[in-house]
Amino acid sequence: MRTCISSMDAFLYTLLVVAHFICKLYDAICEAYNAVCRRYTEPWYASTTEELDTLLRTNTKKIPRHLVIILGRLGLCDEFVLDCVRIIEWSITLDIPYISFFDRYGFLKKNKFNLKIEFGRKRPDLIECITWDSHPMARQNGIIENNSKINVSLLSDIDSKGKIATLAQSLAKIVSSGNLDLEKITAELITEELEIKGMPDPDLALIYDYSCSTHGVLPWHTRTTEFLMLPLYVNISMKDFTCLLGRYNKCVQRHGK
Amino acid sequence: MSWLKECTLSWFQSLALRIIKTGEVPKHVAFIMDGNRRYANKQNLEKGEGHSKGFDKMTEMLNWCMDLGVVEVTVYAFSIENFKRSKEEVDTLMDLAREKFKCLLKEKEKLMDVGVCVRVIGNLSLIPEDLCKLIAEAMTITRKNNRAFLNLAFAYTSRDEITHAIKDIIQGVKDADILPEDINEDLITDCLYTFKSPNPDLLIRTSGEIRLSDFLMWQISNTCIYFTEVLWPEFNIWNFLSAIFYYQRCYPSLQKNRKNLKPIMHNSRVSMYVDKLHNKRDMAIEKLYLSAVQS
Repeated sequence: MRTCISSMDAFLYTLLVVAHFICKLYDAICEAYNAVCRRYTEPWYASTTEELDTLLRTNTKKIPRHLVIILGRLGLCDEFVLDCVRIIEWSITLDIPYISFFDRYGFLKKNKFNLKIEFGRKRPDLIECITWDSHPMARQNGIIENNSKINVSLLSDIDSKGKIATLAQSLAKIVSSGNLDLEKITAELITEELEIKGMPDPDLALIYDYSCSTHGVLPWHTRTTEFLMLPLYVNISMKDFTCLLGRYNKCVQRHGK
Repeated sequence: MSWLKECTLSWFQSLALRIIKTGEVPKHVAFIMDGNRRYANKQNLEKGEGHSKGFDKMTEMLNWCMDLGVVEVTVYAFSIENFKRSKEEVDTLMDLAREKFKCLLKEKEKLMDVGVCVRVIGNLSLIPEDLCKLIAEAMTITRKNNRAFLNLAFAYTSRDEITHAIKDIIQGVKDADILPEDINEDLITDCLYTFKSPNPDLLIRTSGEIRLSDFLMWQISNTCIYFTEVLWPEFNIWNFLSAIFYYQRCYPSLQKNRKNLKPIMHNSRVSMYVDKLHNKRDMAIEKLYLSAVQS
């Protein structure tokens, strides 16, 4: 009886393996088809900023104020740095004021120099528009003095859960020294303390990995963030990006109501 | 409507379930059961009836999980943000919860037979006292069951959970149980409402929304997330198996992500504090239960 059950299970397992194989095959075919399509839609890449501008504005009414790109293992390669450059370029065109790149291990933080070099090479005209890691802008009479159009931040685990743990440590010290009442610690206080240099909470997160997962991105800040998956190839096209923004435009926040 | 009803799957559905079961099955699945009101609108039903259908679906889902070998299920039943809804709707939801917990307590023997441990995670101070007592009773009598775990997130948000964890930790520092240097991510993890549970392997959100709505934000760093368009009361076994199939496809990549994770190791001072805190929380629930029994 036991042998009968185990051989039955082996047969069922084979069926499951076949089902997974068919899915993988289907994905591979889709990927190949997309690659061919992208080859013939080269203008998507070659467009001038003005063309991109017109194109994007026709499709998107709601623009995220803060876009975060989450890199899983798939994104931890030098080629993805070029994609980051392109995404920053599109975000400037779209007037997205904040963009963050998050990867758990700080890969992009380590490659910040490369990212800057690549951006300077591709779009020397736009390099002035970027404020890196949100260094406070010089304000005079409420007017921003520089040409900055976008704040680019590179984040890792230490800016995420790590920052919450560090905050808990410093609050513990303040409370122990008698300078703060324990009852005064509220979600609002923590929100205030965790605010990243005036950045709004991310409105949209794009995940670049094989599986849909947050990878631990800013657990405090992403409760209302919409999560979408980027396609699985490098050289993300304008079309992919606009499609994702189109999907984001369909999202309606209810805030619990 | 019973919490543990017999599963009625067709032979074809059972076969599909058996096939999926031969592969990697998540041990802990979390659900954001969204779409009850939209379902009610679609079917011209009262909102309350939509929520009631949602509950029926949850019991059905628990059966599928048990058949598949999922040991732990966490569901987002009521968010603290949901208190912003109309008084009428909040009252209906609280009444529904009262009715269902009473029903659960009536099925005590069945629960003990199956070995289900019921836990409620959330800020109990925001829930009406009588409901709190029912919750405490359900948690206390099923506390020792260990064959299946059902966590109901009620009056829950992650922000509230993390705030409470931080406050408990700071109290520990104030009482000189631990030092500020002992505070790290692992200690916060162990002080969350979910301290008894492993992190979810799979999170399913229905109704086409693609956000997490402050649900288990700390716990899902390595969780596979599955968003589906279907409304919760219409969620069927095929949708469920599709989610598990997606999990199996993601499994190798998730495993690689988890490779660098080290098990939580505290020093003896922190371990003692964590045990003390957990005991304190268990005692609070038991006290509430005893006050309910005595009254």
